[in-house]
Amino acid sequence: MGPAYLRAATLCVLIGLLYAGWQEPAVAALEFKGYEIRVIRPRYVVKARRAELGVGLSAVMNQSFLYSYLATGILTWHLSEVWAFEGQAAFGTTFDRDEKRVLDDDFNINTVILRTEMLANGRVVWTPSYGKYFLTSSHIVYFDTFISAGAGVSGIRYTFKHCDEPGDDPPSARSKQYPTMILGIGQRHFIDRASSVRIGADWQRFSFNTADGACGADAPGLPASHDNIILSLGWSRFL
Amino acid sequence: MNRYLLVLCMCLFSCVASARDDQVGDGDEVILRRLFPKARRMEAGVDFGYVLNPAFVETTLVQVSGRYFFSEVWGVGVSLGMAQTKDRHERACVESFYNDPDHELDAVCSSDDKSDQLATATSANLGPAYAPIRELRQMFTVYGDYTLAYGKQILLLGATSHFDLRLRFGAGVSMADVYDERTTVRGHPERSTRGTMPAEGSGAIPPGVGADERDADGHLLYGIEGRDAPRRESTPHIYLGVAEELLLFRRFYVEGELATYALFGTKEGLKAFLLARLGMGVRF
Repeated sequence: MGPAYLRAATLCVLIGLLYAGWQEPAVAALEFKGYEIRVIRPRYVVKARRAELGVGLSAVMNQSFLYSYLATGILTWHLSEVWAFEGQAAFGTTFDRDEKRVLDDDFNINTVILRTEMLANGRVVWTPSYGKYFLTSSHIVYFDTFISAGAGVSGIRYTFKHCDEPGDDPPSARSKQYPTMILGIGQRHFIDRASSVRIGADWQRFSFNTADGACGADAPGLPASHDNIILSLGWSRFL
Repeated sequence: MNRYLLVLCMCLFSCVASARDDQVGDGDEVILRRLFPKARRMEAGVDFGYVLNPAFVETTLVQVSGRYFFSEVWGVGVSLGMAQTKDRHERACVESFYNDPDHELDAVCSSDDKSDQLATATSANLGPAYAPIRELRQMFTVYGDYTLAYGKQILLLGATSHFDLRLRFGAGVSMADVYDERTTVRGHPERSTRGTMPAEGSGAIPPGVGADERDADGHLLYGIEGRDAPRRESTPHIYLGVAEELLLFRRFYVEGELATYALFGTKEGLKAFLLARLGMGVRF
């Protein structure tokens, strides 16, 4: 199990527990003596046959030498309270971390780095859980939890800054798009009956060829894959 | 550092997003009365964590913790964490990186190289880079525990669960093994590990080391064997975390947490570690 798998598994298990929650029999609700059992129903927000339009910020969390931030747009059509189709598009930029700067400045080491600058995907969204919590400020917040799966493309930027040896003839910087599969989990926290704050985490895997980042045009390439773990925060409006 | 702040902001923002309770259809009393009271009770647990952000090492953490709650909202806790690290691919590679000015080698570093091209190369050798690396060892923390929210959720209209959402903040001491940056061959400060090859006959010392070059003790001068011994360093840290505790059977809990430990007073200045943790425990 490689490091990326380990990180993905840790994050998925953690967020899964955070979001999905431990189940116990519904009979536990009976223990609210003197109150009705109708503890969560009816739903605060009805989503069926409504569109949801959202914006947000996504961050790729598992890169050794980069920070990547992407502005994200979301469009969802809710078939029912449980199922929905969703499309997402994200564009952004990357910033080098200190570790990369040290390798570059002090050791003259530059290597191929996969800079994620664009994401576009479609997914099926399943919302199996909803609930509410009581803030100490005496407000009640309703939320639901969703799981998604889908496919799309990841846009990777190659800068070829590692092609800095005498005699190198690097191509100019370019972007390549790679097919990507996606698993995600997230929550909507409803601000009112028409809008929500969204948080989410995605595991995205894309396949690429190592020749795409090589300095020479005739460099041998090998198929490879790369995992991105992406956290996002956004706001959405139900139309 | 930016991404740690981003994660914490995401968690905090989701916690404080408040709904208009004047439109709530089923009343707030249904979660006002707690199934899992914790005032004047204690919790003890163990959790397992993973540090998300180091570039060169994988760090896992086992932590034991105890908390006492004065009320349903406030409590205090202590925790002791023991960390284990192992090298990531990135560290193995930069510490066995090649000096290869004429592109004689297909691989960029020895740890990735399964060929014997280096043996026949005329101008390539090893140019290891020993970047500054901090490996966490132990962390002791005292913290306040503030319950932001108490809630319940329903899954597939069939099962319910109850949870606490916690904000934790505190301070403590971290012990770490620190590897300082080094740009020269170990034991030979006049020899650089990396750089351009001098012109033939110039008399300048060429950078790098040979694949079989060893020190007086027989250790290779690159890779793990080429490292300096680390120094143990204790530094104060500030701790901030957001946790969700899922309650079950009145006495037990399972929790997940996202936390940051900001170490200050280090040579690099402020050094922050972002952790994801899963744990379980008992309330008594």
